[in-house]
Amino acid sequence: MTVTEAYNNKTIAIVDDDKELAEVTAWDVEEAGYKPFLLFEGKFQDVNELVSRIVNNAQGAVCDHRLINSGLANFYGAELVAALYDRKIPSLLITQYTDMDASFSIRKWRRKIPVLLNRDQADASSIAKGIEDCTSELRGNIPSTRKSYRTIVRITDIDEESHERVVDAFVPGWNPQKAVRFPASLVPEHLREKLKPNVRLFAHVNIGAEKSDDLYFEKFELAPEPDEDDGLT
Amino acid sequence: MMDSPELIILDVGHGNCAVVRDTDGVIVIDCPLGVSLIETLECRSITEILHILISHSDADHIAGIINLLSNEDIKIHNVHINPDSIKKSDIWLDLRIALKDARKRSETKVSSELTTTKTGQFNIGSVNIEVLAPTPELILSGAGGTDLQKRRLTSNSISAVVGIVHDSHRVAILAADIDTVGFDNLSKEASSLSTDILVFPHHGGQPGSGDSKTFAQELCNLTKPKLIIFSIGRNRFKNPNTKIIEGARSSVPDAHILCTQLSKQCTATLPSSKPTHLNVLPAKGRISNSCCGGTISIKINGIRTTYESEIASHKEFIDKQVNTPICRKFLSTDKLV
Repeated sequence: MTVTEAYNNKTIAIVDDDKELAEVTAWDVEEAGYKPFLLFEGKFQDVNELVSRIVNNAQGAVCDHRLINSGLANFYGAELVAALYDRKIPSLLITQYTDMDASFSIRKWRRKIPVLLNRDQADASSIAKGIEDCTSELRGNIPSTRKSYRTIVRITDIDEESHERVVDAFVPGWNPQKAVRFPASLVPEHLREKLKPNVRLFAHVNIGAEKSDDLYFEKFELAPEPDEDDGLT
Repeated sequence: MMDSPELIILDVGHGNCAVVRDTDGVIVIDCPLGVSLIETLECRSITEILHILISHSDADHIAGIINLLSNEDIKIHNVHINPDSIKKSDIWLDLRIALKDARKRSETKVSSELTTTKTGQFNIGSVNIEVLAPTPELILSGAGGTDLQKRRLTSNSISAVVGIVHDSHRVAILAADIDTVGFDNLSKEASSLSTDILVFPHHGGQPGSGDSKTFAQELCNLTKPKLIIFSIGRNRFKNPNTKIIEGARSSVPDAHILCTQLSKQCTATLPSSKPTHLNVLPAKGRISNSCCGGTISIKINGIRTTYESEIASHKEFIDKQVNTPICRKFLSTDKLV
């Protein structure tokens, strides 16, 4: 049985505000053995509206991240993929802006984005594998790279990006030599005013991730100050 | 109910980690980065650790303890670690904070001494744990100081070397990153160092300032292992060092050599198919097909401790998948047949 025969009864929605890129993705989706359903026109004001459109027409989705620029939607593709995750629809996020967006507008929703593809990595095989990986995760098979564990997050700086506060931090239990950025809005409101350099938080982080782009953060708590008399100074 | 005690040497990539468990509890020796350790504990349904021993404060031995201490599903009773100059670093403060959190949640105790005087204090069930190095005198000098022969001590020189003994028989020595200076001190201190399994120091990398081949020869002459394990990461450093293999082979030609991951010296390309020779335990290299021996599980049974099935499947894997295995480079022709 070929891949095409296995999947040819499934439809994958392609959400992209660029018609030409949507069509290129559609070829890859077809080659991967799915029927493409293109969504490149319209003005979606509410993520649930677009989710409903996808759910009514497809069993999976490949979503571009920057949908706002051309006015296709007033939300990011990352938010759409996360909403589809809640509806158990396997969905991939594609972007050519990984370096700019991974730590901020994508990080906000990263827990519910099992697969993030750079545009130049997206082809039939990566799309087929991505849909397979998403489906597996939605069935409860969380790979070690995506499973979160409670660990320490050490803040090094508070900055601003796109008019929002962002936190630069180290996750020493993941990689003590690589700083990562995440939006302050991920931290519960009552803790946000306490965010400053050298403050430690506990958070649940997928410390098995290979790359910083793949990290997600949730369930923040303020960590205690160390005791001066703990015998370890 | 356990049928016999178990020693697990984990594939953690570049780093070291071992788990010893018996009816009375679990001991973890070294905590590197990554999730292999936590996943192994989950795999064996381990939710309590009696002792964590940290050999020294390099990141590939200590950084993962923050994850373990922070994990609310795992109760840790005791942590043993020697002081080091890293105490002034950010990661040391992270560790102190994680320890305080664990102490408040589950009364974790910390001891800032892991020396030869602690031998016998970490025994679990029928397994005795020896601390073969460092001596308290070395720790008093500490990394950056000197030993009694005025040789400079590094973090590696004062690595804790742990022996696993069962039924009066030493099954394994976990040698952490001990270097030529540390080994010289150890060999003067210990009356016998023979063991079945040697987890080779420093991942088979340079042993400090001394000659690598001589170091391996002397270490293997004293330990006489039947199985030598190199805990390596395929993508970090060029381990194990060829001179180390040459020295080990010249000393113990019949020993089986096993690297946790496939060194790039052994094969430039990874196997295309999923490994079939590994046990079910988590191994960091599994997902990328980078495992050579992967994670090793050994049923401890004193002098009758065997690992032949693991060795046989490892040999078969090398026969079929590895082009230029460094472990066979210095084998005499008759042993290659």
